Amino acid sequence: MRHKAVFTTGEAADVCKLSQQTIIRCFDSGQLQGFRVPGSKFRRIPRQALIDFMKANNIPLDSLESDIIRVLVVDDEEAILDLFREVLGNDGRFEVKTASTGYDAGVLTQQFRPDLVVLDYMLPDVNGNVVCRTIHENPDLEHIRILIISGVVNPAELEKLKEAGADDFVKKPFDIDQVRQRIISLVRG
Amino acid sequence: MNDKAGNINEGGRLGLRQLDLMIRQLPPLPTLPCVVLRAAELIKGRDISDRLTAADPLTRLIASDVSLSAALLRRANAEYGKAETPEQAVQAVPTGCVYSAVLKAPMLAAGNGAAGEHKAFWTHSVAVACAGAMLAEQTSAAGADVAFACGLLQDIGQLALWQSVPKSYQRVLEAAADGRGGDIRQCEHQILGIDHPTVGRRLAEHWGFSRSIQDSIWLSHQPAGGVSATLGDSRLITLLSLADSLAHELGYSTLAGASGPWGIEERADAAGVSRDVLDRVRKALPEQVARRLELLGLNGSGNPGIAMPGLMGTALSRANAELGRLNDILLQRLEQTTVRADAFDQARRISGALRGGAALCDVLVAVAEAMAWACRQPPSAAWPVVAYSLDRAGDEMLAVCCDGSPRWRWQSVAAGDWLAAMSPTRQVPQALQIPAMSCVDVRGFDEWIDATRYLHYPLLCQGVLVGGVLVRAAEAPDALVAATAALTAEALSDSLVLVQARERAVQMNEEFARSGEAVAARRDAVAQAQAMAAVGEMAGGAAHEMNNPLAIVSGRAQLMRSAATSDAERQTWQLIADQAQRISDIISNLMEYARPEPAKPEAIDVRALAAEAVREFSSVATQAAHPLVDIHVGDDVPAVLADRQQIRRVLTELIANAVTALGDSGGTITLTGRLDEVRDAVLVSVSDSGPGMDEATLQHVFTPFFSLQAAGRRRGLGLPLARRYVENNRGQIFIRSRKGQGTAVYVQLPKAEQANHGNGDTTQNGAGGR
Repeated sequence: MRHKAVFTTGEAADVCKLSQQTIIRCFDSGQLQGFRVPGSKFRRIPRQALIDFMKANNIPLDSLESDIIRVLVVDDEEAILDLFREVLGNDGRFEVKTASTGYDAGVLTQQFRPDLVVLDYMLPDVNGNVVCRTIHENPDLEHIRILIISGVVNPAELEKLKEAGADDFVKKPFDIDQVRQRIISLVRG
Repeated sequence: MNDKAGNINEGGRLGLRQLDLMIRQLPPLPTLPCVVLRAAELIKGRDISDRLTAADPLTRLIASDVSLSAALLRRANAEYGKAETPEQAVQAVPTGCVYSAVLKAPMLAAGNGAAGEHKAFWTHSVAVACAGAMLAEQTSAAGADVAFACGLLQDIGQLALWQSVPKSYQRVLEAAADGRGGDIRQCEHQILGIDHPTVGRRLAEHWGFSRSIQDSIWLSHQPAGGVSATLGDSRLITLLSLADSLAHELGYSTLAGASGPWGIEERADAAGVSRDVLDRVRKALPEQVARRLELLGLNGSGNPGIAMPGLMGTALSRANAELGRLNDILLQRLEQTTVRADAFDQARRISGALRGGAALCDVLVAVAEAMAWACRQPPSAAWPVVAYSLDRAGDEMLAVCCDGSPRWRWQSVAAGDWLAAMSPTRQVPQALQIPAMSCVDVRGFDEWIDATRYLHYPLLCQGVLVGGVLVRAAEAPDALVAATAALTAEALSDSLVLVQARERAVQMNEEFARSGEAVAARRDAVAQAQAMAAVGEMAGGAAHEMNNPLAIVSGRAQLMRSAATSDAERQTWQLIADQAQRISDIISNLMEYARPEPAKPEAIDVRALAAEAVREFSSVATQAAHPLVDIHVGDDVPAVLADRQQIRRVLTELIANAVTALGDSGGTITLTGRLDEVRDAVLVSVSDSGPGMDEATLQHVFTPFFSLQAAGRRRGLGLPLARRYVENNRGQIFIRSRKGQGTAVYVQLPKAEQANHGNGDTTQNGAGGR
């Protein structure tokens, strides 16, 4: 996403770590340059305009310039989280945060604004289904990719998760290189 | 004395031997034509079932006639038990026989002035009888009837001699009439060498007459006091000799007009008869005699009737007519009895067939044969007899075709239409002609019989049709056969119902046993399914639980591997990761085995699926190089109905097993697909030229995790899982293997039904609908 030439208001908000409303106001007021999609009301912000805006408002540019992929890993088993912290954290391409409950996942998603969530759908407090849906149906968050990981392959469940917004599925135990590659292609793809 | 043929030659004296012969050869004694005529009149119109009482005029007629009495007594004593008097004899002998004996009695020809002699003899006998009866009654010496009979038959010997040796006896009579030779007995002795009492007695003995009669014949001509008192009926005999004298005295003389003295007084004293009684008897006798003679048709002397030349002819023809009529009655009776006897015979045969729990088929054959017999139409190959049995609901019939050969055919037929055509007969037990149409409608019947010439005999039990028999109709079926058949059918119905009931009971028992088994099997299946479901649940939970630690082991090992400093270290860490993955695969297989996904069947092209399976195997194969799989799927192999993923998995497993079996030694793996017409299914097989399996291994090949080290088995769950999937898709799997000869695994799958029947139609509709 970092290499985009044109951003939507949501993406712009994401990059600046501001709310979408703020971006819209700035767009409408002219503080943030952009254009409307011909024939519709959708706003678009060219990359340079965004950079200019950020510079003008002293917003750090590292999120725009860096292509580090932010991953939120949600699993109730601490050892798995540990594993992911090492698998992804030690790899320079990723920035990792972890959560072990659905609630924490929700909070961190808002704060950390990950590009992708690795989600074990058998969580202690809430069904992964619900987490999926919550992320997917939130317009602020709908761009976040969701990768389900689980010990059990249940095709029926998978179908439901896909409908709820999941993008892909990985089975435990997994190959760490394959998982890294999967994450990159989901986010960049 | 005897001529060459043994007949008695007249003109000589009769030795005892000849006498015996004469008696044995003696035909029934003749009677007078008028008696026969009178008898015919009395019998006219009577039925043979009438009982004859002692008071019946016919009985009295018989009792009054010498010959008829003798004939009946003879008959009775020979076949029907002891009879002392003609009255008893008449009641003992069947009425029909009585009529017959009377009507066919020979008659004396009335020529040469013999008529008068005949009458004299008959009159004398009657007189003696009457007198004897009266005396006996008066003195209570014996029963009146007995005395009458004894008196009547006293001179029977004379009649016998008269019949056997008429010429010689004529000379005796002439001699006696002259008075030359003394009384009649002396003349007899002189000329014949034997007297009539002796002859009479021999005769009576031979014909089984009672002792009294025998003695009175023999001894009643003895002089007074000549009868030993020790003889049981000496009194009677004495009375009878008195009666004889009285008869003579009153002029009822026999053949020779003998003259007194008769010694009546001495005899009366010897008999203990008082003068009063004597006088009373003398007075009453004429009237009694007259009445008897009237009864016999001998009324009064000089009756032209007796001498009439045509009398004999008339008597003959009347007797003949009556005999003919009685014969007809007998024949009719015979017919009816024959019918009943036949039916009884058949019923007996059937009950023989019922013994020992004979099957319904066998009983039906017996029924068919019985009816054929009753109808006098033996079953033959061209004209078989068909017997059928209806089940209770009347829907199905078991029919047996009997064509005279030891083997017979039977089949179950839907009763339906044919029965509808027959229903009017349900209540009416009659023979019916089957309409040709209705027979042809019954499946299979038309190939057995030509319906146009068959009669149907329904078997009814309490008015309900339980079965029937079809028998060829004779050219002109007669009433007798129809009657026999009807009676036989009645008897057979009950037998059939009995066997039907027994078959039903047996069937019910079997069904009961079967349903018991089915219930048990069902219970087992449910229990097993429940157990499997429980395992499945557990497996699901366990899998999740186990895969987390496995992921950690695997992940950490991979991390360590990337930080490894040497090849050896790297390999070790890789190994650990691989093993963790392997454990996870086993868990997955276990889960699939315990709780397979429901099959989502679709029509699958076998050749395409085979290629997919080979590709899938190659993609997951751990060995870099493995033997190629030859695919041979015929063009005519139809699509199968199965879950694509599951069956592909099955084939992959089988291929993997084959590859493992071949190991490094090379060989061939063949995957074939063909249509099995017998099973009407598609048969896919994977075979290898590996070492094969022995009996012991083969037995356990589908057991999960069977531990016996055996070539050709890659993992504990490969074949069991394959079987689970195959059965999940309504197929069957079986394996053939022999040590040293490779292994072949066969998977049988159902054909995909043709789902596009309406293709042509839809294009038409499409074109029309636009």
